[in-house]
Amino acid sequence: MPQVKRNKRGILHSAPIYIFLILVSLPIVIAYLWLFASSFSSKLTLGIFPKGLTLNNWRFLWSEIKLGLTAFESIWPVTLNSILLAGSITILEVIISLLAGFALSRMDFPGKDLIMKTTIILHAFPGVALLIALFYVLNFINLLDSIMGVVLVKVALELPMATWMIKGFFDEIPWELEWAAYIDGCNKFQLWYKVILPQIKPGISAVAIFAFLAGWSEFIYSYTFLFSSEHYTLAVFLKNLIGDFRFLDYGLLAAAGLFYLIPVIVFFLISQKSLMKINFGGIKG
Amino acid sequence: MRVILRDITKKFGTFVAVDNLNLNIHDGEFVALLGPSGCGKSTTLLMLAGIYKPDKGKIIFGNKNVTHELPKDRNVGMCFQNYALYPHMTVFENIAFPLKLRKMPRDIIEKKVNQIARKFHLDSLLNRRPSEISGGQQQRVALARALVKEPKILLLDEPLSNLDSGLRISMRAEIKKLQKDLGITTVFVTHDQTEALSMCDKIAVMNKGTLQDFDTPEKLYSQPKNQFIAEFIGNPPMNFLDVVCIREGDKVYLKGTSFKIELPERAKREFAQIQNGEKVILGIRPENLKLTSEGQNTVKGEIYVVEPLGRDKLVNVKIGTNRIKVIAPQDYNGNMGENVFVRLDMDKIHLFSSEDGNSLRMSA
Repeated sequence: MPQVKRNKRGILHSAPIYIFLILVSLPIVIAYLWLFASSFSSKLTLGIFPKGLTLNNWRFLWSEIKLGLTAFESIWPVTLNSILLAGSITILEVIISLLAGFALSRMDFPGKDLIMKTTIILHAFPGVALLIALFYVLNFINLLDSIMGVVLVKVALELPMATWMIKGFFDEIPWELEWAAYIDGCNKFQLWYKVILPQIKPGISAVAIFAFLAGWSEFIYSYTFLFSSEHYTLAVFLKNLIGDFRFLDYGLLAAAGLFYLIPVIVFFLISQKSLMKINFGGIKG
Repeated sequence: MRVILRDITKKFGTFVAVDNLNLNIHDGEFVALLGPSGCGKSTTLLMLAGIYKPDKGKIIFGNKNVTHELPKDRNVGMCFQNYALYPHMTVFENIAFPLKLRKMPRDIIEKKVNQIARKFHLDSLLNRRPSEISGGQQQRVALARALVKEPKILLLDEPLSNLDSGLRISMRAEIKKLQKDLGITTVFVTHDQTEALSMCDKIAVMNKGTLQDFDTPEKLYSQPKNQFIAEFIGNPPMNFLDVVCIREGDKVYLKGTSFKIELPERAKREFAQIQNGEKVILGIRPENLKLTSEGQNTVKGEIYVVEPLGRDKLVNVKIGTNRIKVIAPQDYNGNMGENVFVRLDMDKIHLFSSEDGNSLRMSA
């Protein structure tokens, strides 16, 4: 009995907190609800209640679409571009941050402190401020209007964070573990592959997840450095859908937005566990 | 296997971790490297393992110079203070790892791992991860992993310091028994003199990178070569009093601030080299002191505090500015602030030079 009483009081006690939290998160929930509802209906009443179920908004999946005077290409090559962009960023970032993180954590060399400090500054630097300079650089090395150009820019800007993250994981591996592996008979490669790598798996997946998500949602560099429509990514495609306000089709935009969102949600569901393990090595004494 | 360290020096930058170390360890001997933290004992062990390379000197296993051999070619087993088990492997995989690296056939690996697991009572834990077993069990896994490859030399780096005190005492006996059963040459690093005294055949006492002495526990305890060894070995530690040696005719006295005691014949012979008027340090262990009434050759002091230890009592006595510890019987009932007289067992005294701390005993 007292148990029940306490529970009741507990609920009464926490009710204001719950109400507050619900109120605060309502706008976001409504936004997603709107996105979902409007993508499947021809009309919405009172904002979020759909009227007239239709799949017409999803027509971009199987046919070309025309809005006003502009015709849009099929979404599939654009999706492929996005996957190529995000995938390349992920692979490059993981490889480079693994090597750099190992060096910064395990090796002693002159200028190490300086490198670590400057990487942090580099991360704090707003990338947008570099747009024009980057444009010149890319133009100079002939990587303008090429997905690889955007990949390089993005990797360069994301790398400091990724390196620090990986370094944190390396820092947590005790030296004794390496020594034990050597004494047990490992050579350098076996040590790396059989002992070190399994310890930093969560770190690798964390960096990979962040890199992929950053690449997938990348907009400003793709929009600035890619001109030809065959290089468009999904983010740019979406922006162009909004393009001309006179002909804006909200149903279509919602459906395309949802389409853009699906991989991210799926990715999150798969990788949640690894993401939880990130601690940036911040509490090491 | 016999292990010889010859003129070993190891520096880290300008810091000399080990300075010109010479050790001669016989086959099957259980040797402790004992010293305070930072004395170079772990560095020495890691050089034996092949993790560190000495800057100077030779390491010889058996008849082979292994100074430049990689750890994997030295056939040593090592057990670390934090056990250093591979977190991503099960207990079975941990123990099997050294064998797998030697490309042994699977069925032999399985047989050997099961065999050693039974010996260390790990049979029921083989499928668990290191994080899922207790500290004591982790340590047994670490020992099993070190021994499964049947090494010629076993290196133990403070293997007991992460265990709770009850387990530590039982593991002390277990490891000693194991070492004797296997007859494997073992080097054991510790900062705990009780462990070293109770487990090892011989102890190498180190301080600030240099070897102080390498001898049996009994010898180190009864005839310490210098004040550092005297203070470091034995618990509670040896007492020290500043005295002046006075020779009057045939007799030799030690004079302190408030006392004057005569040396008996044997001590006189042992410490014959001391000059008249020389300042020396008198060392005496708490168990060689006795609280008595006033009499010849006693030292007057005041009880500072009494610590009952169960089996006996440890009485802290203030003598002038020095404070000494005396072991008294359990039923001793002196109180704080009372005056007492301390009788020294003069056959058990040690005298050290006040200049370099070396023992002034003739045979030393």
